[in-house]
Amino acid sequence: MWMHLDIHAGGLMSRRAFLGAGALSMAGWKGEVVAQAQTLRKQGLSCILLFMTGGPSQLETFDPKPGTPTGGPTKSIATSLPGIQIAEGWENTARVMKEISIIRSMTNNVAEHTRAQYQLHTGYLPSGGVKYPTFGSIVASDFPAPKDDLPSFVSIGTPGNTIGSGFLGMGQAPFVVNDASKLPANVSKANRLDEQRFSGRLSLLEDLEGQYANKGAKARVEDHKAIYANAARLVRSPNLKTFDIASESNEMQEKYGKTAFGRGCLLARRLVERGVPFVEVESRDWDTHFDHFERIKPLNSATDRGFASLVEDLAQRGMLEKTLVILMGEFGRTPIINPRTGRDHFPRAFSIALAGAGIKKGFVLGSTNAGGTEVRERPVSVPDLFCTLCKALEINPRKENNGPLNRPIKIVDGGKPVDELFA
Amino acid sequence: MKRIVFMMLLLVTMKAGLAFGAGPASPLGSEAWKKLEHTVPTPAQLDQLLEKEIIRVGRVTAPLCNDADFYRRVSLDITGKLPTPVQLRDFAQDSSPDKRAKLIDKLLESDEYSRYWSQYWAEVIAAKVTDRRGLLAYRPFEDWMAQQLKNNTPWNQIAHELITAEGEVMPGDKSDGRTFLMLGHLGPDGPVERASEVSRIFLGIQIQCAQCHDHPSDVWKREQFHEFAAYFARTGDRLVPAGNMRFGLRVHGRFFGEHKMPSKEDPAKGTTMHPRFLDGSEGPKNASDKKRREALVASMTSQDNPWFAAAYVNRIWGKLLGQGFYQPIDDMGPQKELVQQEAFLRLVGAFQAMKYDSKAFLRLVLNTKAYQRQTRLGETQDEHLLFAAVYPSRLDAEAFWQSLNDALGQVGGPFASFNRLNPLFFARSYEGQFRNQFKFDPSFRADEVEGSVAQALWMMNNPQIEEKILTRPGNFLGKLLKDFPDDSQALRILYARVLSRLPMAGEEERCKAHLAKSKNREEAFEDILWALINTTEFQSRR
Repeated sequence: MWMHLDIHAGGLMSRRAFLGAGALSMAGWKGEVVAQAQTLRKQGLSCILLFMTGGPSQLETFDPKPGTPTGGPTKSIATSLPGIQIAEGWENTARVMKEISIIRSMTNNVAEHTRAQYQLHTGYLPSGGVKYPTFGSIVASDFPAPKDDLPSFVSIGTPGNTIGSGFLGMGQAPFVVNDASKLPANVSKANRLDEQRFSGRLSLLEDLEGQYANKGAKARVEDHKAIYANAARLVRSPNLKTFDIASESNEMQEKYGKTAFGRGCLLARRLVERGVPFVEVESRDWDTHFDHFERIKPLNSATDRGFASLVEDLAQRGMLEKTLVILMGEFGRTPIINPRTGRDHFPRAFSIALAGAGIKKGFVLGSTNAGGTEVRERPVSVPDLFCTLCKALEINPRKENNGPLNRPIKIVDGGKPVDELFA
Repeated sequence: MKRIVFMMLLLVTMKAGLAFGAGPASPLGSEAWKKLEHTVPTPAQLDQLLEKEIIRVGRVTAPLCNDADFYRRVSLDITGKLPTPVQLRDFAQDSSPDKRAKLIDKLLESDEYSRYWSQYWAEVIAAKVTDRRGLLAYRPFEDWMAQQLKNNTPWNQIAHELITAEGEVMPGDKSDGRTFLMLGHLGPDGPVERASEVSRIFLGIQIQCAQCHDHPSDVWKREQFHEFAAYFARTGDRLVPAGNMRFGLRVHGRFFGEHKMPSKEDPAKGTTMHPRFLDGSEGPKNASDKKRREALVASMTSQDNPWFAAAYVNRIWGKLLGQGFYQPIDDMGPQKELVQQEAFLRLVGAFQAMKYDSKAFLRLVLNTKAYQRQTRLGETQDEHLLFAAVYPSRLDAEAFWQSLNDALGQVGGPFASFNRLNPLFFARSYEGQFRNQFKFDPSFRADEVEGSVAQALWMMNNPQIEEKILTRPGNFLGKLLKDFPDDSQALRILYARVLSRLPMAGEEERCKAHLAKSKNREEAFEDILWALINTTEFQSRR
């Protein structure tokens, strides 16, 4: 219409319009074939991220150093994998060791919680200019949505603490469940309204939206209505019972552990079983600057039980082949024990565990030196880790999403997948 | 596929740059920018400039909005609050020709103006904070900023205070709120992040795009970014023990240190950069932190640098009209798309002539016809209306929270806002959780702000909201239904209270149909109140 606008189309186009343009050209037959192939390829794949906020000690989890000055009183225990030992307190994980892989050679240089948590969730360091999406949002945007009205990305036990969907927008934001022992906040009809009154309210709302739509805000009203339709579908969905872990046998609940983390793991399994592609469960309070060896006992116990039971349960149900399970925190802890019997932040050499979705069963990658102060072999960087997660989930790590100011941003910048981790 | 589209657009944009003949010779803008008129136009003169362009491109201006729409809009925009039904009635009955101007003056003098806009500026900074520990300064900043707005401290002085701030924030203690902008970015990346934010907020220039390479769509060179960052080379931050394993934060000057531009081949190596402003003028070499930051503010706020006034003009106009002259409002530059250039430059000159008086500027904008037009969208949500109409943007979380409380009475109980001062405790309060759920970056384009299912569920089903909807003796609905046995009358008051207008004939009919089939009058009105707070209109500017 106006010359200058046409020429500068790139500058004037919003992200929404931009994606829309992409979608339009995708509507051709070729696009459909691509989309279908992607759906087929991803069928049944999903990911559960168990995040140990605060930074768990590698020396008290997967890389114990008993008998050395840095090892502390922690003993090591044998696992189901001959020759491989992990820290005491992880007896259940030792039992399922033949299902999982450990990386003992993670290395990074960010020793501050919020920055490292951001980096270990997004693959990027925080920057004022770009809000990078958390990994769950990336997976949610790349995977087909679950069929049963359930959200694509559920985050358990993380009230107000999620990194969020960043530039991918609210459509990919985590659906937060504060407490796995209850239904998610606000999904139940308020004041136990009966269905008749609930429908009456919704139909009244639908009709009263007309006035504002007529006053020139039609498209905004339509967006609003679409979101409300999704919300109402969730409220009425019979699949809400997926969130009810009380329907599991007492035995099963005991197996995962009746702790916040154990319940979160059990809920994660139920959600993944119904096709939710990404679930994050938080395990908190790993920031043990003092009384470290006492304080980690209950943390180890709950996390070991939840993680091992999840892996075992997924394997027994035949779901582990299609479900990537990640157990990690934002960094490790110093080999040197401080004067308050604590360990401080240590990103230089730490451990994480992976299982499922093609990850080798019963495998240890890399090692640290005798004191645990340096990675000795096969260092793995944060971008390497994210490339590895992408490989397991069949996501192209170099795929570019449309960032702010229409800048294309790769899912992972740099790094290489760790091929040795795949069977 | 998207990639290809992007490349094509990039090509188109590049061609456009050539066609315009824009070169880097005058990085701060074309000749027109150098001839700013340093006088304050009347609102009518401004409207003339805008309408000339609207007519030139063959558009039609929207009619002025009615009194109720105007009162609601200006009240939400200036105070973040809804007008009461009594205020609306009195305003409608006032026959003085300058009643809108008088209302604008009244609202600008209210305490709610300084409270609401301090929240706005806190969100502008908080949205890009790269270290959450810096949020310790959030509430102290709000308090400090509210005081500045109340005193109408000129914008250049506010910029000076924020950019040169030295001081501490302590958990739960008396803190220096001016440190928020500096403390939002900590550690080794501090200089780079602080430079990016200062440039974005106060100059409207996203110079950080030139951090790793020359700016892809503007004139800025990589060296220019790092010369800008060098102003912050000696700005330091550290943790301050506050007892009980708690820490505060301090921003201070360090005695040495230079900013290095990392080598592209080996990021461990780098070239020492000295401060130089965007217009090419040299900053102080080997100088103290204080001298550097003082020099930067002096260059930024000099009348020779129009971008300082331009950034404020574009942001405020963008918030009030729903769209900026540049979009998004914090992404301006010599080669960026600008609409309504003549009116924009007139406003930039005017803000300089006003000596950066925020209230005078707000008063000018709010009194234009452009601000007082009806809302509408173009053919698509992101079409630029060129200010022929007001954009129906979504309320920010602060105004939405306040509106909800205005409509329903205090939501979340007496402890809804418990412990405002400490951001960690505030985050767990009802108000904190609500605002966290509904917040968005205030620098986003209005058409890119999206809602979510979790938000819809909150408005639909949240027990604390439902508690305020239910009819109880003595609460709003309880009194309304007791005092007004006539349904039409009760409906009118309900609409006025929630949507600041009377129901249209069709709406009244629809509500009465609902009354007719409901079990009782209480339930029917509860449902209507529920529906009204869940409408798009309640969450939006009108």
